[in-house]
Amino acid sequence: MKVKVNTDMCEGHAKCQGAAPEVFRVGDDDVSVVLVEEVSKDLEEKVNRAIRLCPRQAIAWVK
Amino acid sequence: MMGLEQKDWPLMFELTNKVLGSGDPEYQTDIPEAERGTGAAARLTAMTGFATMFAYFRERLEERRANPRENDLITLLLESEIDGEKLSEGDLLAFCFLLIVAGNETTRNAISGGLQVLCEHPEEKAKLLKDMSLLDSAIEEILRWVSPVHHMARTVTADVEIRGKTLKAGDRLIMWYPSVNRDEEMFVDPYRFDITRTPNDHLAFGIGEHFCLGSGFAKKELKVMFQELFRRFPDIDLAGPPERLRSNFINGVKHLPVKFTPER
Ligand code: HEM
Ligand code: SF4
Repeated sequence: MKVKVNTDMCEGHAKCQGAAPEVFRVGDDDVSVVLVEEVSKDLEEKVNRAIRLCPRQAIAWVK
Repeated sequence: MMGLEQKDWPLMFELTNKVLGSGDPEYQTDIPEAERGTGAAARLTAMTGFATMFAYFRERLEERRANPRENDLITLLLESEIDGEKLSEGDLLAFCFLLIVAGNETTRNAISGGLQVLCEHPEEKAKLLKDMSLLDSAIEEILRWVSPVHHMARTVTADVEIRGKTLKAGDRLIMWYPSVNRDEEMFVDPYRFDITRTPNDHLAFGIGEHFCLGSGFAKKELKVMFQELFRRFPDIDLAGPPERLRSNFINGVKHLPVKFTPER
């Protein structure tokens, strides 16, 4: 599955990076970037946690 | 951070105490002693604090309008535009006020509350002093434990059912952070203070649209403070009972007597 960060919503609180550092990185511009094209099965749980923790609800799976 | 002169810092301390600690008789200094501690005294104290703070920032705005400064937050606010419009005087004052209040009481009570809880759990404190790389996770646990902000409020915008309780549009509700941060479904053994707790998904900074703007900055402040404090005074310990703030909004420690060996 693919995951997306809505950059208009993201405020760079880096909760996503804490939950799934393999998938999200927050750069110096305080916006989270998705590092992987496809989220592998074993990382899905971590990404779900990132989605839950994101204070701005900026992260979503791409259908 | 806001470019205020150091000579004004004690005034900011006094005013943020008055506004957020308005219910505490110690800060009701404009009220005759016999009348302190009442609801009316609290309202008057908060109002005096507000009014003085707004007057103070109105002067700072004037100063910057006349002489814009480089690398200055208030100048930046004066010059910013949203959808081509400048911020109104009211918005500017409200934002200055919000920054000084939200940035002050919270972080400083996380520091005092954090030192208190570490001293009350000597085994956790010893663990941290032995391995300062635990500081980041210790700070998360301090934030969970102290929950410096007790609550924020929301107005329900649409009827909704949560766990069998119906909330109606227009209902006002209070979100109690100390309670959510001790939710036994979220935290294993929530009443244990554990500086290595993982996961630690506390909501001390709120969640959603109004999530704390200063959360990253606050954590940095806490980190620097505890790093320096324990580097210079590793034997710091409580020397008496803390005196707590009377408030249902801020979990504050007003006075925290400590003892330590001074640096040589
Ligand atoms: C340990 C320290 C802090 C704690 C526990 C804390 C807590 C909170 C909480 C719970 C909220 C959520 C409000 C809501 O959901 O209605 C909030 C909002 C806010 N905080 Fe903090 N805060 C801290 C430090 C700071 C600092 C250092 C600043 C400024 C530099 C700051 C600025 C703000 C602002 C501007 C908001 C409003 C955000 C909005 O409405 O969009 N806070 N804070
Ligand atoms: S947690 Fe949300 S707001 Fe924070 S950096 Fe990640 S996507 Fe952005």
